Amino acid sequence: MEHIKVAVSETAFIEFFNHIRDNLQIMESDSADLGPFVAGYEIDIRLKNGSVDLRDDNTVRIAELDIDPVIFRGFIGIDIPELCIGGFCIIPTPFGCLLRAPRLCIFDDSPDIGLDLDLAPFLRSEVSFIGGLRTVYFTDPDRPLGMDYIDAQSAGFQNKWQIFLDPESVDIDLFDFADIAGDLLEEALDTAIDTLLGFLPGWAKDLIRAIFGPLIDMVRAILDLPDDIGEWLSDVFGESLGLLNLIADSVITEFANKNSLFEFEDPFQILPASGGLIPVKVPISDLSVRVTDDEMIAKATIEA
Amino acid sequence: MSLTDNSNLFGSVHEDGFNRVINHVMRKRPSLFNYGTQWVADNWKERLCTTPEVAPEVIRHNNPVLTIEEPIPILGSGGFYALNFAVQLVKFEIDFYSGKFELPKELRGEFTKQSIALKITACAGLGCPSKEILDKFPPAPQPPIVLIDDQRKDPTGVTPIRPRDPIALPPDRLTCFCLDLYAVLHAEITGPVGEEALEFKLDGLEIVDIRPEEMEFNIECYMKMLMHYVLLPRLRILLPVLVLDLPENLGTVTVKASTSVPHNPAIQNDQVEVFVDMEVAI
Amino acid sequence: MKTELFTQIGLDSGSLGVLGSIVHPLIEKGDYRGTVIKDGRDTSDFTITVNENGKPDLSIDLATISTNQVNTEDCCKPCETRDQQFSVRPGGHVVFYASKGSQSYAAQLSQVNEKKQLFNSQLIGKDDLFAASILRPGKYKVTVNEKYEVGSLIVTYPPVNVKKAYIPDDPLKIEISEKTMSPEQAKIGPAQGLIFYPESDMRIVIKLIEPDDGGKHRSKSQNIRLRRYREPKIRICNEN
Repeated sequence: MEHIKVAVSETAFIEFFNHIRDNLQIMESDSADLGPFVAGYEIDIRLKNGSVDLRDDNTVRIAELDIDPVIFRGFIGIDIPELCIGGFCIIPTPFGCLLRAPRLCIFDDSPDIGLDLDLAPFLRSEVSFIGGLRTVYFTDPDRPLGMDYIDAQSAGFQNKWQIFLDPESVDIDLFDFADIAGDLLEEALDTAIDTLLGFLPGWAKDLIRAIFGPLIDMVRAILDLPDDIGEWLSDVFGESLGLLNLIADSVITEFANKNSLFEFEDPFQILPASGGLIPVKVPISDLSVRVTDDEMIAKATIEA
Repeated sequence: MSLTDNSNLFGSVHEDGFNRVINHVMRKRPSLFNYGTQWVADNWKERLCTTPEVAPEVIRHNNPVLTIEEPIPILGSGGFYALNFAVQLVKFEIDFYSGKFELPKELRGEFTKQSIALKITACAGLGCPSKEILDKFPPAPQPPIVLIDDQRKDPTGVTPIRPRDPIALPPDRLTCFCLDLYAVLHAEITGPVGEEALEFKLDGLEIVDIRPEEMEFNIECYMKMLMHYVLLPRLRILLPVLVLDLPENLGTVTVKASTSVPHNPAIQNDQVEVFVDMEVAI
Repeated sequence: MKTELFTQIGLDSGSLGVLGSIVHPLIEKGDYRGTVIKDGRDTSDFTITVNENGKPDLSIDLATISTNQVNTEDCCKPCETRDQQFSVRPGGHVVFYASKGSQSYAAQLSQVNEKKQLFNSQLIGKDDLFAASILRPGKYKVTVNEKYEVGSLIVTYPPVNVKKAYIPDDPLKIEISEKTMSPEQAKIGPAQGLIFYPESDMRIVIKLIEPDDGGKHRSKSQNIRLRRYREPKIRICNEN
C-alpha cells in the first residue's frame, strides 16, 4: 500500500512547468541545397507564455507556447543565371535559321548572391502539446559499483526518482513570418543585386534588370517565390530545412528526456547529517503519478 | 474535493509508513535511543540489555551505537565509585487517532482528535559489581567511631585522600528490566517562515503499572524529561521533506504552512497531513 | 563577369570587339591560312580546310585563338607553335568574332602557299555581313570608310518598372553602300541585333554622338505588399 501521498495544485504545477519552460533552449544550425538556391539557418530559441491545463484523463495540455527566437538568422544563396546577348539569326531560311550571331553571356562565373536575414523579430510560432506524466528511476551511469548511498550523496551520484512530462505529440499551430519579412527579403535582394552590379553605369543596370524582368520576378523565378513571400519563408525554413521537425523534436526531447518536472533523491533524507552522524534516509519505491482536473498526485511506498 | 483545495501542496504519511520511518531512524541513528557508560559501549553487543538492530553503514562510518553517559555515582562515596548502567528505548510504535492501542486509562482523556499515541518499550540495566570486585575496590578510608569523652586520642588520625575520577565498578553484566510505556503527543508546525518544521509535543506519558505509585511517577517523570529534552527535539522534520523536497526543484521557493485549514498538521484517516503553500521568488 | 560588354561603346567592322562579328562565305575547296590581328599586330595563325567533310558553318573566336598559341618572341627556349585547325563545307560561312577582352581584332585569309590575300575583315565586301549588338542607349552616327556619314541609329533606353521581361526585337537589316544606308535613320532597342549588308568593299564605323542615361526613365524601387500567411496545423508525433 502507499505510505506517502503528495499532491501538487494546478497553480503550483504551473510554477514547475514555467521553470522548465524558462530554462529550455534550442540551439541549432543547418543548411541545405534546395536546387536553384541554398538556404540555411542559425537559431537560438526559447519558449514563453503558454497555458497549462491539468485534465481528468490523466494528461496535461500545454497550449499556445510561443517560440521566442533570441537568434534566428536565415541565409539564402542564389546563383544568378547567365545573361546573354547576341545569338540572333543572321541568315534566316524558310527552313529555319542557317546562321546565328555569336552568343555572349555576362554572368559566366555564376556569382552568388548571399542574403543574410535577421528573421528573429518577424517569426511568429506557437506550439501546443498534450502529455502524460512518466516516472523514471535514475541511476547515474558514472556512479562506481558498490558505492553506498551516503558516499553517493557526498559525491553527487545519488539515485533519483524523476517525473517527466511526456508529450505524446507536438502541434505546431502557427509558423509564419510577418508581412515585413517579405519586405526584408526584397530589400536584401535589391541591395545584393546593387552590390553585384554596383560598378556598372546606371543604364547597364537598368538593361540587366529589364532583361531579367522586375527584380523580384527574377528572384521569384529562381526561388520559385509565390506572391506571399512570408509563405515561402515558412516553407523554406519550416519544411525544406526541417525547422518545424527540429522544434517539435526539441520540445519532446527537452520535456520527455532532459528536464524532469519533479525529482527527489532515493533513499530520501529524513534527518540530515549532523556532528559526524550519518544522515537518516529512507528508501522509497513504487512511485506513481496521476493527474486530475485540479492537481497532480504522487504516491509512493516507504520500504522497510 | 481535491487534496489541494486549501494549499498549493499537500503531503501525507500513513501511520504504517511513519512506523517504517521510525524503524529507519532507530537503525541509522541508534545513539538517539541507546544510552550507557563507556564500559557498556566497549562491548555493546554483549553488554546492552537488548542488542539493537544497527544499520551496517553506522558501523562503516564509525558512528556511535549509544550515547555515552557518566556512570551513576554511589552517593556518599566521596565521588570515588560509580556504577555502570544503560537505558534503551527498544521499540517504538505510532498510532494516529482514532487509534487501535489499548491505552492506560490515565491517558485516554488526553487521546483526542489530532492526537498521536506512542507505544514504547524501554529497558534499563544497572551494573551491580560482584563480591570479588567489592574486595578489590575497598571503601575510601574513613575515621573510626570513638567515644566523645576520651580526651587522650586524636579523633582524626586518617590521612585524607586526594579527589580523583570515580571508578565505575565493573560488573559481570547489567541487570536489566524492561517496561512498556505509552505516550500521547500532538503535532505542531513550528519555526520561522521558510524554516518551518513538523514537531511532536508530549501531552502525557504512562508506564504500565509498577508499584509503588510514587516510584512509577518518578520514573515516568524521568522518561518525560528524556522525551521532552532529548528525543522529540531531534525528530523535527522540515516541511519540504513532507512534500518530497519537490519545491526545491524550483530553486528560490519559500515553503510555508498554509493557514487556510483548521488543523495543520492534521491527524486523521490514520495519517498525518500537512498543507503547504509555495512562494516563488521573482 | 564580362564587363567589356558594357564598356565597349560603338562598333567598327574593321576592328572587332565583343559586340560585333563578321560573316564571310568560303566557296571553293582548299586549304586556307588565317592570321589574327590583335590591336593592329599579327599574333597567331590558323588554318581552315574547306571540303565536303567540313561543318556547315564555322565560328572562330579570334580572342581565344590569339591566347592559345604561344608567341615565339616570348619564349626563352624553342617553343612549339600550334596552329588552330578548322574545317568547313564549301559554301559554308565563317563567323569571325571576339568572345572576351577589350582588345580589337581582325582576321585575314589567304590560300595556303599563296601570297594573295583572299579576305581581310578590315575591309568587308558584298558577300560579307557585319552583325552587331549595341547595348548603350543613345544616338549614333554610321560612317563608311571613315569618310561618308551614311545614317544614324537611335538606341532606346531599356524599359523600366515593367512586369514583363524585356526581349529585344528581331534584328534590323540595313543595306549599306559607300554613301547611303537604308533605313537612313534606324531606331532599335538595346541589345537588338543589327545586320549590315554591304554593297561594296567597306569599313563600317558606328559611333556614339549623344548618350542617353535614362533621366526620368530610371527605375524606382518596387514596393510590393505581401499577404500574411498562416501555416495550416501541423502535427509531429513522439515516435518514442
